[in-house]
Amino acid sequence: MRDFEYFEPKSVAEACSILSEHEGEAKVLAGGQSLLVLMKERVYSPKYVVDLKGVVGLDEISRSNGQLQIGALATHRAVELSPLVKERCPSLATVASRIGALQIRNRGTIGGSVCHADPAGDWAPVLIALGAQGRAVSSKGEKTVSFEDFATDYYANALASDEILVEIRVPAGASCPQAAYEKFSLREGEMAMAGVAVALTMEGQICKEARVVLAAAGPRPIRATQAEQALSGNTVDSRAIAAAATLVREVAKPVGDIRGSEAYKKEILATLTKRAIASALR
Amino acid sequence: MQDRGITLTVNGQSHDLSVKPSMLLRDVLRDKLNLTGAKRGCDEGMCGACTVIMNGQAVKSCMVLAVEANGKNILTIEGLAQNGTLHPLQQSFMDHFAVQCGFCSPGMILTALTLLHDESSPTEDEVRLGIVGNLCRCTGYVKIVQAIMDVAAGQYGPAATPS
Repeated sequence: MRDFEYFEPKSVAEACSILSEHEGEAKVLAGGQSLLVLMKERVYSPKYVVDLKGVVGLDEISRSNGQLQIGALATHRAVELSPLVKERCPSLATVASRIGALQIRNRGTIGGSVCHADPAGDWAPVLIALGAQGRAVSSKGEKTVSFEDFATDYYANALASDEILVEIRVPAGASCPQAAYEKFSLREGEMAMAGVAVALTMEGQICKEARVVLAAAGPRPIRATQAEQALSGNTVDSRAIAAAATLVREVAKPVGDIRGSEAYKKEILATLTKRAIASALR
Repeated sequence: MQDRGITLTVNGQSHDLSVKPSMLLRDVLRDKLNLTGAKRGCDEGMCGACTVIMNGQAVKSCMVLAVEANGKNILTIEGLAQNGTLHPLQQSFMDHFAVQCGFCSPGMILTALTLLHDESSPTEDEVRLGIVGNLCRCTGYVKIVQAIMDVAAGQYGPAATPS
């Protein structure tokens, strides 16, 4: 890792100001479980590192107006264990519990994960499926961000260089869809080589709205809209599920690598789609 | 780039240190404090051989900057035994032959300590999931899991919880 200057701002405003002053040469540090690896590999060698952990209140989990408000600096472990999350949107706690390993979850954060924009990351497809929104702050003010277009490319996000994601809001309680996330990796604890997040808003036996979002199937999470249409407005029976799985296979663009060929990964994605739908319905 | 002053409390002792921001917690423990139980394995957060307990949580010390550990309480493997008496987990690992080359053992034992603190009666599956972040190339994990389960079952008396 190359040397750098380290900042511990005490407020978001101070953090934005440092990022603005050192535009292009600064990186934000949250849990560090992704950033530090890339810095060790010298993929990133920022001259300035801005540690957000000194800003009080960025890791809080609360609820308001039928939404769960999760601070961007909430660790995966905090989300996993939060009684509020387990009560109001339990699929989030389940997703959190299977991220990496215990030690990673104790440090890694939900905001850091989403901003890091690894296409195999678990949070992004889940947040997209749930219709979550983010709150981003820069020296110019605040704005609401959708997670659908948040990742712009491999390891790139839509935030401005002095903009910080501070909070994630998820529909909670009755407005939280039935959701599940199924992923596959060669060994437990590794990044997904395929992942499918499904969220279903059910009215009795009929699915009113479906979201199917793929991880590790392209440079960014992919919303499999045709698969969604196979489920929306229908009874989610075995025919609809099979149709959704086939449509996922068609829209996925995974890269063949040491974990599996493109064809193999498409098969896994199709199977995970079926499992995620079944899981969401339980 | 200036060095930063930090204070770490390690195994109950306070240390004032001067570190570069890029220095890892693992290397401060090993090279400045001579606590070599935390190993350099993969250096990228996968193998867990560098695991220590920071403010009660298992963390991979190669994935924590020393400056991030400022003001925190660290427990390393060297801090487990009390007055020459091994911690129940250490004794259990020995009794079960859960240690072969021993390289994974410090990290594995510390992770197990936090697992038992969080869940005093884990199922075998919960133990297996709990140690996912600690790789062992020698034992095949069976004896490790048995050693942990036997401590959880109370066969070594009450297990101390991490401070």
